[in-house]
Amino acid sequence: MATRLPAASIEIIWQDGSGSRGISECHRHSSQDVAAVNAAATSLCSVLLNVSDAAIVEYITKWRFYISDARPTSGTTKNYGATLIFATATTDEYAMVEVLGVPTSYIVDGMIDIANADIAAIGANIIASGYCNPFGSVATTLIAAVPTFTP
Amino acid sequence: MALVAKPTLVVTIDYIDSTGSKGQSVTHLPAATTMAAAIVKVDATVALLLASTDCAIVGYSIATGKLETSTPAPTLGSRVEGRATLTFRTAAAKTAHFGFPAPKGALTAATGGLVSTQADLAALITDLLGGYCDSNGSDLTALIADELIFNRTSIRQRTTDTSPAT
Repeated sequence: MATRLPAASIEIIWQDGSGSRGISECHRHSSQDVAAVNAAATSLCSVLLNVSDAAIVEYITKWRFYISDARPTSGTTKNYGATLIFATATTDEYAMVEVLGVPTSYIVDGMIDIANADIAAIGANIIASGYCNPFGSVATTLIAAVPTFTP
Repeated sequence: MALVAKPTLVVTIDYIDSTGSKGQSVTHLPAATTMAAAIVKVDATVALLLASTDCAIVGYSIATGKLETSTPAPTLGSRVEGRATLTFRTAAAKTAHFGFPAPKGALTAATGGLVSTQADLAALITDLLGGYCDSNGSDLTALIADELIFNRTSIRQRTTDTSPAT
């Protein structure tokens, strides 16, 4: 469905003696896996540190995909959304997934109806696919979904 | 240097609505997920999201990386505004640039160019020519120019010494 762009980007983030930050960007073939690109980036960072007086604070490797036949429904706005809240395998840690452009018909008693078939299907997919929160705790149960509006 | 892997892959899904406004939603997959597996999962999720949104999903990105947990102090006086810029020829006969900030003094020639034969810089160039490509996926094949450029360097102020042989 989605088409992978031919190159994965590596953004290297630098910090200089004044605290200012800068970025270097380069690319590897996007057919390479995460481990291979990260290994190349780590190696490149060690070489770069020999030629620069600035310090490297982070690098980000990114693969991009596009969907060429995407068409939004007429009259829609992305500002109405739904935030799905999941319990995770770690006590007192939660995971959230936001869906933009959600019809207001999903709202029941001020909340997004998690019994709605479409919302329940997303929730089941998030859990079955092993999505997690930013700390790596895997989502286990859809516990609520909150409508959001960005003015 | 202690670059530590981030705990997750960051999945960013890009939306567009009928007014042309763009939005994103972000979720995560465990870092151990392979790219092939991640693509299968995200494609499946996007298909389900499309049933619930009136927006169009125009693409997504999957990102990861590493964080430096013990950043060494940058050299006093180093500035990111000064960049060593390397220009490469690609296999598709186009040019691609790579720059890094605050090049060490030993790399800079009196003419304002870079000394690409200096051992550390030569090692960097060799690394970049060994598997890196441009944004279209065309391999870097040869270094054709190098120079030191500051943020406010005008075209007239740029050095004429860009030969990689110096």
